[in-house]
Amino acid sequence: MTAVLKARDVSVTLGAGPTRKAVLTDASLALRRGEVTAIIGPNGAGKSTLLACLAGLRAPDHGAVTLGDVPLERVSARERGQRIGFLPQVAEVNWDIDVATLVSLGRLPHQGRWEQSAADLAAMADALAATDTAQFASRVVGTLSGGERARALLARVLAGQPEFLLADEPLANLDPRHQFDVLALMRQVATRGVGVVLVLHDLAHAMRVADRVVMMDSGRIAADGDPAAVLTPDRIAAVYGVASHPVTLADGAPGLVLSGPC
Amino acid sequence: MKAQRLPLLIPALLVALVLVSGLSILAGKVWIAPAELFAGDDRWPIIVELRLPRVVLALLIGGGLGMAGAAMQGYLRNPLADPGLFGVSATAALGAVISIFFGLAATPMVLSGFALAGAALAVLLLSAIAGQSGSVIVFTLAGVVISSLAGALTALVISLAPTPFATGQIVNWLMGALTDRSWDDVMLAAPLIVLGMIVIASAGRALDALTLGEAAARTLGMRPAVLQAQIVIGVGLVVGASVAASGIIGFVGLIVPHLIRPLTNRRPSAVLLPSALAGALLLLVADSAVRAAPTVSELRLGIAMSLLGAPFFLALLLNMRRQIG
Repeated sequence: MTAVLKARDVSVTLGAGPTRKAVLTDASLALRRGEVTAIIGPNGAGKSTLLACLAGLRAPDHGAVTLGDVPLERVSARERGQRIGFLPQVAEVNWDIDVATLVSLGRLPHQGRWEQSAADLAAMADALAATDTAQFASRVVGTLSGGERARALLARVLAGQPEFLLADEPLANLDPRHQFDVLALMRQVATRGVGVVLVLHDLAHAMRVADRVVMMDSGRIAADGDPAAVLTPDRIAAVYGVASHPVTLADGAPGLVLSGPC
Repeated sequence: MKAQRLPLLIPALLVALVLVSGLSILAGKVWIAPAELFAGDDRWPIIVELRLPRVVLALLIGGGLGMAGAAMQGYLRNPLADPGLFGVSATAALGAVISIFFGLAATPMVLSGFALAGAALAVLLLSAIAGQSGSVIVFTLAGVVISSLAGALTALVISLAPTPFATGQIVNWLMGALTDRSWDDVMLAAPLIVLGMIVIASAGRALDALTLGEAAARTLGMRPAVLQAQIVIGVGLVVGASVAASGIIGFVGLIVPHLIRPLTNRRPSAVLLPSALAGALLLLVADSAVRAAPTVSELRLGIAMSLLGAPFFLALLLNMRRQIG
């Protein structure tokens, strides 16, 4: 339970010559299991790139990502797949597979070459139950509504029983109710000891759901810590150019209202 | 959550294969009744030396092409992909055509050797062009370029053929057939096709991961460069050896995975083995039909497959259009 996913001085540059652009500069952070971390920042701030580095999808040009003190590039692809789950921003699902088959794909890093073990089947059933998707397990993914689809895709990642779950904008294209549902699910997942990392655009959600907020600006980590300490009106104004007001919600939780450009 | 939607799919295909193989051995221009088979009949050589190698080759080539097609469709995530797409069959055919051009094809196994060399060249070129990137697009474009170049060179060789007889021989060979194949052809093709199929089967898990797109697949442990090598080598071996033994036989690799996919849970790995069995079955049926048909000269298998395949493909397209519309 002590394994930590860490980025140390991670830098990424894209392009070459005059179009060369630093998309990530000296980003350092340590992610712990059982915690919900929200990565926020304006478009182009480097959120997705940072997430791709943490998922092992992109090797940083400088710096290192380590999983429990082992550099990520030295962890085998299979072990990385077992320990880090990744939910891409645009989920692609080919071949008209049904939800049960989709979820079974989440077991690929664990599975033997031919057969699914009892542990595989148990993890799949568990993931279907946790996301409340068992009732449409036999439906083709393409026929699901947006909310159902989001839960099915999440079930796929959970079936892999990862130590860390990295989700790139999991709330995109969801209506408010489904956004809350997915966030509640993410919280539940963290309670089971998974380190949850969410790239979010909605600052109010970040304020409400995250244990910790990492705010990015122009490829750098501008602030990292407790949501209320990071999401101050001054910082939001400086990074986003938007006026904001912290509020206290009916249940006593901290909230945030944005009132317009400033 | 069984691997197969129809759990009896594989057993049913196996039973059909055994039945059709038996029938194919007995049937032909000369019908041999099962009762006469073991009576020391003087038609025994027809079975052992003519029909049996032909049946074995049809099973191997059909099975290999069916599986290679399923793997290609899974790899490119495109139901229209075909084993010939990477240019391996075109370069293998070019190799064979060159051997006929130089009049070397009369020597046993020279044509096959040239065809295999052509296939190997395509695999090496593909690897060199696509490199270690594992990029599917670069790879596919490289295949298309190699394919059209080999096609142009084949046309050049035909146009330069020294005699009308050589031209006829080349064109006839290109149409694909299993006529007059011997055990030597089986011995050459069998190990290569079987090895290729094993390599393809070992890529099953990575192909499954690719169902979720390249990025998600990589986070599930799929290594693009490894998968690409498995596909190039596996498909290269199967297609190269098939073309060397029979010429170009189209449509099997395209149609069979389509037929099989709805009968499975549609995971690419679940389509591989049934596609191999169904491919073997389809090619054996087609070859037995052209062999037993009461025509003066035998209809070429490649032509028969296309005659069968084109209407099927049209029906498939119309069905797809109805689903979309």
